[in-house]
Amino acid sequence: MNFPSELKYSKSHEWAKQDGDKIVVGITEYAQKELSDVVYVELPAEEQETQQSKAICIVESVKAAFDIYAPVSGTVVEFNKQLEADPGLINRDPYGEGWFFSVTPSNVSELDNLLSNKEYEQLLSQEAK
Amino acid sequence: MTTESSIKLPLYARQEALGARFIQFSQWEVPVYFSSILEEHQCVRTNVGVFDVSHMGELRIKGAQAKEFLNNLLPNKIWKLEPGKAVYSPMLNEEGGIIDDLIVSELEEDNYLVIVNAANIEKDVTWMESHLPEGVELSNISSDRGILAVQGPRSPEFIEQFLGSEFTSLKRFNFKTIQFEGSEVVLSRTGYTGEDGFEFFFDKEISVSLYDAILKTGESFDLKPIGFGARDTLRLESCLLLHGHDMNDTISPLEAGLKWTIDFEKENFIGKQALLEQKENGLERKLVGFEMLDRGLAREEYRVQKDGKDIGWVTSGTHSPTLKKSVGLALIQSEFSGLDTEIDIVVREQPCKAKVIKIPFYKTV
Repeated sequence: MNFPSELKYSKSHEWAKQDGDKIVVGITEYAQKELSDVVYVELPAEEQETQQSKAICIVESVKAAFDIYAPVSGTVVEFNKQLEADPGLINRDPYGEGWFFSVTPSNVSELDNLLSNKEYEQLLSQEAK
Repeated sequence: MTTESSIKLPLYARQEALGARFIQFSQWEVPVYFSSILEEHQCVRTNVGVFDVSHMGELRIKGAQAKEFLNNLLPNKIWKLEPGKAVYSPMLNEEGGIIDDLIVSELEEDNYLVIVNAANIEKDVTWMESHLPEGVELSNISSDRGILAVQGPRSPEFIEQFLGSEFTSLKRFNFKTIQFEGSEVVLSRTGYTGEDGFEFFFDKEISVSLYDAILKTGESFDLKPIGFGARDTLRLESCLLLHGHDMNDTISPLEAGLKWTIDFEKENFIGKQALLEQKENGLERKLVGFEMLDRGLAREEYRVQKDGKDIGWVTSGTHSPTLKKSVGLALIQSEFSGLDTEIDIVVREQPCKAKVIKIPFYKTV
């Protein structure tokens, strides 16, 4: 599985990428595999406040619904409208076209609470045991 | 995750090698999918796939009065059966509630094969035993037996290549006995997907060799192993009810739309009185199909409302891979069961608009 080194990872399997003054958020390849086919996404609203590690939106696979947690606190500036029409993007391209939303962080240093790709891979190998 | 009490079926290792992801269903470990639920669903709708449903219960009922016993026990026309024919029937309690739904096959005179839901095996056996007359013998052979289902529009073509052309003429709900590796196998034209298909009933010793043989012949058809995820979306699109969800001990076959399985003409069957009363008094609740108008997926147990008042609950709900929309079944007050009636499904505390639509959602031509 692929975990790009330029991303930061949460223990709840979201990724965060700094892009200028925004932070873009999605779910990891591991998460999309666990979910299997995503068929529905309930995205956050623009300007919705996020809080680090708090549920912010929902994805549903054929079998069940799952919460997505905000990797950083801040305000939602944009969400990926394409996911509503084609939620399968999350499975097909989790780090690209399958992004969820972007946030203006209220405290950029929160990114330091997240894991590097190596730490995240370690977490996954521990979970598998 | 699996608990210690879970049972692995004979094909577990083969399925694991094929990449299956397992879940626990009742006490069994079953594959939920191999590649993807959506892909597997599509494979059965357009091509052909194989399901392992060996967890299901298999009972044998024998004896000179076996037919009479079954005919009194079950509301459908058991009296009409003859060797080589099978019939679907609910099994009712005295109140008319559905204890289970099952398929009875007449193997030969006085000898019946009964397929029941896995989660209900013990309950069914207890119920049947409490009504069993002298001279009728009931045996639960579930743990010695396996079941495979080959389903999809290309299943007749597959069966022709696998077994020969004489089997493609089998009619729906008819079966034949075949030999496989010296073992007797019942081959019936039945299934739970809304597609044409066949089911194999056999001794579990030949599970692996039969499965492998099916997959081998299946290679030229691009036949895939199918998991329980797709089994559920397939059966729900076709509105084949699932016991413990769309029907149970407190839901009657009239409420569940299974009136076609009730032979009111016959002298007696367990639950007849209760159903006659229901018929006379009218039904308070009905099982309906709906589609979501608002965005959102309806899931089992979500409340159904009309003008803010609860009128029932969702019994099954999913994203329909074929129709590409959110559909479900709900048991609601009869007055709201008319086609096109707008109802609300409460999704995470939020009423979302839905509409009663015709069932089944999907039907093969």
